[in-house]
Amino acid sequence: MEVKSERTEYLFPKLIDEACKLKEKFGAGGRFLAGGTDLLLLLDQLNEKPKALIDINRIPELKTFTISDSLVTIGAAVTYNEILENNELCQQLPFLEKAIRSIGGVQVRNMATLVGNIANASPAGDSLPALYVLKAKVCTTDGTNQREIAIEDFILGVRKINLKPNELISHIKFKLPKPAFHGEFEKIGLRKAMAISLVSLALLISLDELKIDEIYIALGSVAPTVVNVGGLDAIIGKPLNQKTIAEIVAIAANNAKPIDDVRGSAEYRRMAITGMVKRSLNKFIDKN
Amino acid sequence: MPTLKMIVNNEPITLEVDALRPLVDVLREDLGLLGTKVGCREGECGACTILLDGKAVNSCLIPAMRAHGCSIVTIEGVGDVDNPHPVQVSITEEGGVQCGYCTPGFVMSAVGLLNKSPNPTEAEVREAISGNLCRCTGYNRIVKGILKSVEK
Repeated sequence: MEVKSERTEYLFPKLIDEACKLKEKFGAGGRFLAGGTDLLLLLDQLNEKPKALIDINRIPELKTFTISDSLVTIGAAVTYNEILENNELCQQLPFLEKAIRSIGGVQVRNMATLVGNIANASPAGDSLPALYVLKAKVCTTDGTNQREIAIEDFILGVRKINLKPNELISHIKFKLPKPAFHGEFEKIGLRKAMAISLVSLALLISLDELKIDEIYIALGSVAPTVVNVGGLDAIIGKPLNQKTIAEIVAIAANNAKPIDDVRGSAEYRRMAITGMVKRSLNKFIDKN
Repeated sequence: MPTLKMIVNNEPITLEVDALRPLVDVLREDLGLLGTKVGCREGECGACTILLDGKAVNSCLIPAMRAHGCSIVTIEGVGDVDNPHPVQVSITEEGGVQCGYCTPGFVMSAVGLLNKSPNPTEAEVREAISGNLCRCTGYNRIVKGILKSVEK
């Protein structure tokens, strides 16, 4: 359906192809709207008046949300609360559930989408560290051609993403980790609800005969983008004990480049990273 | 201007709106539904909470046209002095209303929760109102009120 206006047009495409054609027609003057919880505020901040808002919420294909052969596919119009209502996903990935539940309040989660958190590319996007350790792929389309990009190659900087002007993110996908994996999510904010993260952390780890087999850590709010902690290969094969934890903490702290801002100092953030890495690994030890 | 058609409190409404105008302004200024409050205008305080197709949302974050073809419930559609909703009665009885500015938003969040989960636990109630700010009551009386409305 199309509503004509001399001001901002508001459009409801029904197909992905139609949405991409509209984006091509309006160019930079066209904005896709999914949850919209960041978009209206952003337009206000930028004092930007788009020629058209292209509402993608009524495109059935973008509501796709499936788990099949341990492949999770989440469409661009799937809201956070729709994800939280999926018991299978929440049981398999309690750390992703925890990350999503830490975002906004119920009202925001009823509108906002997981893909929107990626498109918005804030360093403090709270679902992002979990998606980094899950090695999520971002799937884009221009209506004809599709691309599949690893999330760390898709998010390039603060509000900078690897998306062409006529492209739309159609969905993301990731494999469920094998049952041997254990995941954790931690977030420090000024209060529990509605707070922007000072530091967030997601961790996936698996042991083989009590020795570290695989480990992935991603940190949020400590650099312009989420940081995939590199250099953890050095601790593969070592037993998980306090000595190893100290090594992991040092590696993680080396990867982070926190800044001072109104919410906290770089020094505080560095200490928080240390505490969060220790805490999440000790939780895992306690469970074993 | 785009034509917006929606159902508000069971009444079909048709009006011309600027596509970028937040829904809360259309509800208050064009439809005179002043029970929905404006606090922060950035989705932080929850005073503007309404139900969009049965789900609690911040009406300050929604461009009005997004509600095209949708059903909306505001506090006026929940209950009034002569015919209050059980949540409104219990929150009042428990002393969960002081200055009252946040109250409609809390009631809408509670009604949104009860739509989904008619017998909520205290933890569920606290999560449901975690997107609503109150600077007077300290929240406990509001939580008690919502839980009491379910016991009735």
